[in-house]
Amino acid sequence: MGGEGEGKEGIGSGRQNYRVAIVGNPNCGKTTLFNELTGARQKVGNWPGVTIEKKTGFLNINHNIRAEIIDLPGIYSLSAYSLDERIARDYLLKEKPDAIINIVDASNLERNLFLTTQLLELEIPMVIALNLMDAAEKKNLKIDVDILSSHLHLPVVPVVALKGQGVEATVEAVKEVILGRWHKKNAMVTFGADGEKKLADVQELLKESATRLKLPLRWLAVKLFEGDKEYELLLENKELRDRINEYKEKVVKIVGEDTETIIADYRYGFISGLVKEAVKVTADIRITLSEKIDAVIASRILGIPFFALVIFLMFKISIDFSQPGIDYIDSLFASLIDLINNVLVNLHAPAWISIILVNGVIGGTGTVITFVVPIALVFFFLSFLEDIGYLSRGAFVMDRLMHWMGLPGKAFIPLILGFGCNVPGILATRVMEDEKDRLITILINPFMSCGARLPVYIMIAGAVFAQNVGTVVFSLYAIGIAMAIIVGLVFRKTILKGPSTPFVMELPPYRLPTLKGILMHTWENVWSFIKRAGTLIVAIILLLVIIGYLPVGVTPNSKDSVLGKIGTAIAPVFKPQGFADWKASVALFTGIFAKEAVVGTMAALYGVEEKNSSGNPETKSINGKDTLKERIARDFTPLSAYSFLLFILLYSPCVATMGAIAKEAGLKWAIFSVLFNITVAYIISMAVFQIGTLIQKLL
Amino acid sequence: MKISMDQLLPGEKATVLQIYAAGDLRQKLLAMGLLPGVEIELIRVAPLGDPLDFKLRDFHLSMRRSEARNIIVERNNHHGWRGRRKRRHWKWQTKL
Ligand SMILES: Nc1nc2c(ncn2[C@@H]2O[C@H](COP(=O)(O)OP(=O)(O)O)[C@@H](O)[C@H]2O)c(=O)[nH]1
Repeated sequence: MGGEGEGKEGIGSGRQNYRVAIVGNPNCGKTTLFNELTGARQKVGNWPGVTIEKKTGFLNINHNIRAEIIDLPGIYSLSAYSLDERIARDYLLKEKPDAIINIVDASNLERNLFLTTQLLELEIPMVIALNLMDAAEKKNLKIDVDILSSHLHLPVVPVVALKGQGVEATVEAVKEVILGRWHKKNAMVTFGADGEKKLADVQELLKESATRLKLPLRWLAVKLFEGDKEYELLLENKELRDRINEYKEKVVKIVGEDTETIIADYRYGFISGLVKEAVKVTADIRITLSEKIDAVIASRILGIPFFALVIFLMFKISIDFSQPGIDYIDSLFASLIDLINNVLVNLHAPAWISIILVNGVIGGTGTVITFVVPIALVFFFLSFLEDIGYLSRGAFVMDRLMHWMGLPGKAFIPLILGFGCNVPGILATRVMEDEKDRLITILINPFMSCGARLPVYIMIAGAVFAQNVGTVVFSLYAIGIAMAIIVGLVFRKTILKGPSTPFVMELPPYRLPTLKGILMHTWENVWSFIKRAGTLIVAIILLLVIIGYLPVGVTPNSKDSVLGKIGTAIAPVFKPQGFADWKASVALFTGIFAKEAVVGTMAALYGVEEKNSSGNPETKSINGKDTLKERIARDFTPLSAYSFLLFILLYSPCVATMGAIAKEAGLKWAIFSVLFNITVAYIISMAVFQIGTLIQKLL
Repeated sequence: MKISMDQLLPGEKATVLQIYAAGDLRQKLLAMGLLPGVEIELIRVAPLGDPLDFKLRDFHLSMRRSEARNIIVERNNHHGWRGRRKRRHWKWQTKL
């Protein structure tokens, strides 16, 4: 009977809710199948105690069976080395889901089945979703699903997640196993007559421990045989540990290999036998389409130019395409503000209400919504590059450079994510094993110019550098990257000395992404931006509007207001940088709360002042955007504007980023990061402005 | 002749003999199926000379020279350049 596994406790209790975990290698189509199974009913959160994303969703199998689907991190094995692997392993063994859907890439069976052979030992009912059947067909592989099924003793369902094929059959198979209608016990890889005898002895020794730790006996024995660090620590009995080690040493002496290799060898041996039987190669293709593409875009000559082109296009398109959207939303909010102002005037509402409501709440919301367009485009691009498989090529092409900075290729992803927002960028350093590598990647992340800084560049560069906005913005991104490299190197050579970690990374074949998958990923990021940053921004703008209005009676946002006094006090500090203007100082001050607040602040300071100086606050001809641009252009020279932009690029990370750094590296490093970055920004802006002024004088 | 894996030229195939790596790296290589006896091919070198793109068990794995140095292999064909030309030839054939 298949009912002995501990994962089946749900049957007897008559429970209607089941938990089903999705497990598979990275890039096997996990996300795609997860989306197909759960539709839009998803919840994104974190694994307890760590910041790795946890996605869950619901699937109604029939009207009285509901399954909660848990998406586990993509992993190659169940060792205890990486955090992702530990999360997956802990979930499977401690939470004991009712079933596992093991997604296996049919076009890459051998390597994917390695994980499967480990999952079999967990004694949890399991279904294999043999995904990417179309890709396997293209490789001229003919896979006999029945042979796989009969050898593994598991239901095996051919799936093309991309087209939704086989999804229903997967659900059906899951239903069969959770209801206990699959009457076969999981197959196990055996480790040779001699090995099995030794393993049986070890299992005998471990019986009590396995019960106490609630772990499957064979699994525990195999893992301890491999020398699994985590489980060794769980055995409190030193004598037991020594006896297991004796067994290990005996085997090592006989075979002449370490136990880890022997076990992996048996697993792959089992897989090779299975694949030989189940898979027919109908025609030999030596070079796949992916390889042909890589021969061009990852080649020695074109690799770097192509990568630079991709990144350049990404930002060029994100900026230029979002401009009409931003303008449209701007004008929409301008008319909304006019409309509400009119209503309020007709109602004879007091002035402070219109200031708080119109300038603060509605103006602030409008500001947040204008960011959504460029940020969505950036994330759209990133998701596309990730799904199609190019991000790993980026890591391949750029690794030497990363290595030269003393960082592993893995650092490339958190840094690239930093372009969207430094907060997920910093959180993504969780995939890095080495503490020093991680710390450096965290500390240089704020130099990667995040999406929130983009609207600031667009507003100021748009006002001052009419024709060259794209180029100016690109140069800022480039300088940010250069600073990250330099600072990373300096840290590696000074405060964070140490060797870097191994770099072993799969280059998955290129795959056509789905629009749905990309859009869902984009939306998740945009939504979390609105939720996390949006409320903060509106709150800050509201606060600014209020302190700009106080003390009662002053001209709002004038030099005499509380806000103006703060700005006036800070301003002289920025004389060497060329923007010793109180409005710029206020904007920098608020920018620490959230980089995008610079836009709101400047809009408030320049926009409202225009209305006041015209002496007629109700004049409808004032188009907020144009006058704003003109006024900004009047206050800045191209040189001082560039110096200001550089300062914004480099200075203190925003509050949310500080929080992320404090969470991942400790408060000490967050404070360090703030002070260090402000110093760097101060020096660089000063150098650029002073040298620029000198050159202008000489010409 | 035994050489370390980083000494292969693009297009050369070899059989893995020994892995002198420990801990994290060793475990990762084993999970990827890089075991004694498996055949690997060096496909290309990254633009800046490192890392390397290897093919084994029908998938691509990239690693740095410093990691590849820990893996001892034996060449399957002794003519790296000829091997490479053969690959080129194949490319055209599959295209036609
Ligand atoms: N051709 C094909 N592509 C697929 C299939 N399933 C997923 N993909 C694509 O493979 C890529 C990686 O899929 P994803 O679900 O993100 O994989 P994950 O990394 O395992 O979550 C995406 O570009 C998908 O569109 C499939 O069955 N056939």
